[in-house]
Amino acid sequence: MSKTAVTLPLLSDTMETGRLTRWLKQPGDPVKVGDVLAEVESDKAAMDLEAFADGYLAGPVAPTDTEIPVKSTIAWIVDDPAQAKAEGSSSEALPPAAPADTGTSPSAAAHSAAGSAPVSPPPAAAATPTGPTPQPAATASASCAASDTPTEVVAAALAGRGDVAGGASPFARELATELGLDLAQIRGGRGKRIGAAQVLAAALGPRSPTLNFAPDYRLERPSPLKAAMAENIARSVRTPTFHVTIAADLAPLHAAAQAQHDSFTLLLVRACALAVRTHPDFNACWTSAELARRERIDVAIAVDTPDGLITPVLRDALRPLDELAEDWRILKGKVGKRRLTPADYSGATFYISNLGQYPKVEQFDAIVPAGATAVLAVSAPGTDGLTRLTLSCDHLASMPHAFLPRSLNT
Amino acid sequence: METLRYWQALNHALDTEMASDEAVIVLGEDVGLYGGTYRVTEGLYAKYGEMRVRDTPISEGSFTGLGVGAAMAGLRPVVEIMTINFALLALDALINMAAKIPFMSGGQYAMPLTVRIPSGTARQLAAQHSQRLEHTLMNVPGLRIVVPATPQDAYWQLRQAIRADDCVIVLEHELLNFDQGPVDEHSEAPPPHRASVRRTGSDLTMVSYSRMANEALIAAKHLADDGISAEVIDLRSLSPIDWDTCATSVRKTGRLLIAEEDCRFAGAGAEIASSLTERCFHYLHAAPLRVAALDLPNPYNKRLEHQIIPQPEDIAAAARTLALGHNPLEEAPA
Amino acid sequence: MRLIAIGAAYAVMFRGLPEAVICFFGDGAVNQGTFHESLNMAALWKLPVLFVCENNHYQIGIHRHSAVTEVHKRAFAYAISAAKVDGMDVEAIYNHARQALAQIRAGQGPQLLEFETYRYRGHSMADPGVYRPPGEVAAYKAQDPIAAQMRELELHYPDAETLHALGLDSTESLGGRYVEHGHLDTGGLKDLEAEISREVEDAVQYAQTSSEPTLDDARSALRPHWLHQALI
Repeated sequence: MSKTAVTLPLLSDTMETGRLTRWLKQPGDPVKVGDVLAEVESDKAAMDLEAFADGYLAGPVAPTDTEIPVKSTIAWIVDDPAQAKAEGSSSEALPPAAPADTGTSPSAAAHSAAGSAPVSPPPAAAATPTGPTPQPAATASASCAASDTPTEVVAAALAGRGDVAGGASPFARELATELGLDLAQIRGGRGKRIGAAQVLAAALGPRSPTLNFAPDYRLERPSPLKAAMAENIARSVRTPTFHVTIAADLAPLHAAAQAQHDSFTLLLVRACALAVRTHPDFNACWTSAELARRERIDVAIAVDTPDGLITPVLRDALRPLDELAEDWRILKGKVGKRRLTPADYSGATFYISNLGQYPKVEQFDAIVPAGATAVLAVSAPGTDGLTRLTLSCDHLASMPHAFLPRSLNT
Repeated sequence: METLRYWQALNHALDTEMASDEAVIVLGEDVGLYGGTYRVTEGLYAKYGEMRVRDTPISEGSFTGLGVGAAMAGLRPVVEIMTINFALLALDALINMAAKIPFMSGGQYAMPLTVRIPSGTARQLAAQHSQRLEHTLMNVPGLRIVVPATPQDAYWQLRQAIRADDCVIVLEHELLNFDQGPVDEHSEAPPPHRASVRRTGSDLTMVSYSRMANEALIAAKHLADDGISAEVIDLRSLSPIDWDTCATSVRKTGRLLIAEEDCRFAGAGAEIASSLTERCFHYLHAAPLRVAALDLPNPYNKRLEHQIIPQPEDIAAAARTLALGHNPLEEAPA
Repeated sequence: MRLIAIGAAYAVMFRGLPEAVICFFGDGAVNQGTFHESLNMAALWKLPVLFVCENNHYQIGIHRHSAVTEVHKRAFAYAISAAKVDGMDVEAIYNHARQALAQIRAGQGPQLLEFETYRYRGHSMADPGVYRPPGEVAAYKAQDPIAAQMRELELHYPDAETLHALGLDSTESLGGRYVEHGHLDTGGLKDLEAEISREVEDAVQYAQTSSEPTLDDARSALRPHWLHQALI
C-alpha cells in the first residue's frame, strides 16, 4: 500500500499561506496524474491544484476557506480504494491555521526565522507524512538580543569610526572654544578623544601655566596617589579661607602624652575632636545647595611621604584613645607600605598638620582640603616656649571667632 | 477605518482617483487582464475598460515615455514599471523627459505623471531583480519620490501623487504588499513628503524609510527591553526630505542612526547623514551611523542574501553601540 | 542578451573567425527597443549572429502585445533573412539551424529563425523521473521557485485534454520517429531517458550536498581580477 502526500504548493515566491476554495474531488474518488484536485487561492491568484500521482484521494483533507501554510499536507493519494474510503473525514491531523497577521511585515519574521537554515531536500520516502510547518509569528524577537560578534552589516556600519584616536566631539570643540580653552592642553578620555566631560573638567580645574619662556622641562606622569591628592587640593582653591593664629602652651599636652604612653599626635587629634564637638559648625561643609552637617568627627593627620603629603583619617575621633591608637598604627603601616587607599585618606571633616618636628618653623598656614571645615597647623615651639597654632577655616561653614580660644583651652 | 493589505490600499487609491477623474489612466505590463503582478490593479480593467487600463508590451522605455507625452497632453497617467530593476530601461523617459520638460518649457508643460515602481529586495530574486536604486532617482531635480511603508501611507501617497501636477515616483516595496494595516480612506492626509515619528524616544534617533522603517520599529521595541529609548522616524519621502522633523529629533537625542536597504556607498543614507550633520553638528555626541546593505550585488543564495541586507538585529546592535558609546571593533580605550 | 550576442559577434568578425553566435529570446522580448537596435546593427555590419525566437505565444498574461505577431517578419525590415519553423520538430530545428549557421559562418550576415512552440509542456507529462515516488517529486517541485513560476504560467495554458489533442511533445515525437526508423528500440529509448535522469539527478545531488557559499565567495565573484591589487 503506498501513500503519497498532497501538499499545498508554493505558488509564488512571496506566498506563505494559501486557501483552498473548493475540493473538486472527494476521498475515495479515483485520481490520475494531472487531474485537478482542488482550487487554491494564493497571494497572487487562484489556481488549480493538480495531482502528481495516480490512485485514490484519501483523507484527512484540509478544510476550505482557511489559511493554510504552504507545504502543509492537505490530503493523501493512496493506491488502495478501500483504504481511501476508510480514511474518511477531515477531522484529524489538520494543519493549524496560520497565525493572524499582526500588521508587521510577515517577511521580517520569515526572513529571520528561515535566515540561517540551509535549504534541505524533502523527505525521501513517500510513506513519511510531511507535517505542516506553521510560520512562527515573531521570532525576530529572539534574535534582537545583544550578541558578541557583529554581523557583516553591523561591521560595515561601524567600519572607519574611531580609526584615528584623538580629536574632539563637535560639542566638546564648541564648548572649548566658548570657554577659551586650548584643546591641545586637555587630556582626552575614552579613546583619547576629548569629550564634553574633559572640557568641563579643564574649565573648572586649574589652568596649565604657559611654559614658553621657562627652562626646558621633561614631563613626568604622577602616581595615581599624587594625582588624586593634587586634584583634591586643586578643588580647594575656591574655598574662601581665613586664618587665625594663637600662641599656646602645649607642654601639658606633651607631658600628658608621655605619662599615658600615648602619641602626642593622638592627643592633639582628641583635643580637636572635642573642640569640634563643642562647636558643631566646624563639622559642617557647604555643598552646592545646602549645608551638610556631619554626624561623626573624622580627623585626618597630614603625613609627609615620598609620594607627597597624604592624610590618613582617624574615623570617629571621639572613640577611646586605645582604639584610635590601634587604627593609627594600622594606618601608619599602610603608609609605610604605600598601601593607603582612598577610603583611608578621604572624607575627613577636620585636618591637622603638624610641623612641630622642624624647630625653625615658627608658624604656617595650612590649606583647607575640600570637604573639610578647618585645618589646624601646629608649628614648633618658639623661643618663648609657646607653640603657634593656626586654624584655617572655610568661611562658608564656620564663623570662627570663638572657636580657637575656646577649643584650645581644652 | 478598515484593515487592508498594502496592495489593496494602493488598489483603492487607484480606484478612487479613476472614479473621480476620467483623465486618470493606468499603463503597464499585465496591469489589465492579469490584474497586475502584485494585484494592485485588480478589477480595474473590468471596471474602467481597455482605454483607461492599458496592458503594454514589454517596452519600459517606450511606455514610460508615452506616459510623459500623455501627461503633457492633459491626461493623468499612472505608469507601472514592474520593478525598479526594469526602470533602468526607462531612465531616459524619467530623467531626460519627465524631470526636464517642465523646466525646459518654463513651466508651460506640467507633468502630472505618476510612476509606480515596486522596489527592494524580495526573496532570492538575485542580482538583477533585487536592486534599490532610490539614490539614482533622488539625485534628479524635477522628480518627487514617496516611499510608503504602511497601507495607510500607500493609500494617501498614491492619491496625492496622482493629484499632483509634478512627476511623482511612488517607490513601493515588494515585500510590503501583503502587510496589513488600518486604512482610513476619508480622513485628511498629511502632506505627502512629511516624515512621521512612528515611535518617540530619547536616547537616539533612527531615520529610515520604506520597509526598513518597519524593521527599525522592530529593533526599537527590542532596544526598549535593554533600556535604550529609540525614536524612529519614517521619512515617507526621499525627495524632498522633511529635514525639520529629523533635525528636531536629532537635536533632542544627539545621536543619529540611519537604516536603509540601499547599498552603503553613495546610497540614500549618505545624503541623510550629510544633511543632518550639517544641521545638527553642534548637538551631536557622535558621528551619524549608517546601517545599510553591503556593497555587493544580491546573491541568489538565501543565507547570503539575508546577510547582506540589514536585519532588525543589525539595526539594534548598531543602535546599542551608538547609544552606549562603545564600538566593538575598536580596541579597549586607553 | 541580444546586445551581448552582437558584441560577441563583433569580436568574432573582428578576428575573422569562421564562427557564429546564437542568441535565444522569447516572443515577449521582441518589443524591447534593443530588439530593433540589435537587428539593425547586426544587419548593418553583417555580424555573424543567428537570432532565435522561441515563440510560444504565451506570457504571464494572454494579451496581444505585438502589432505583428509573426516575429520572423520583423527581420525583413532590417533585410535579415528569416524563417518560421515548427519548434516541436527536432529534426526541422536541426536542419534549419545547420543551414543557417553554415551561411552565417561563411560570412553571409545575420539570420533569424522563429521557432513556433505552440504550447508549454507541463511537468506532469515531461517528468521522466518515474523511478522516484511521485510524492517526493511533488514536494520538491513545491519548493522549487522555477517550478513555482512555471505553475503560475500554467494558469493560462491549455488544459490536459487540449494538450493531449495537440499530440506528443518534441522529445516524444523525436523518440517515436527514431523507433519508427529503427535507430532505437523502445528499450534503448528508455535507457536514454534513464541516463539523462541520472545525470540530472547527480547534478541536483551535487548542488544540494555542496557547502553553502560564503560572503567572501560573493566578494571574490564581484572583483575576480582585482582582489590582489591595491586600488588606492
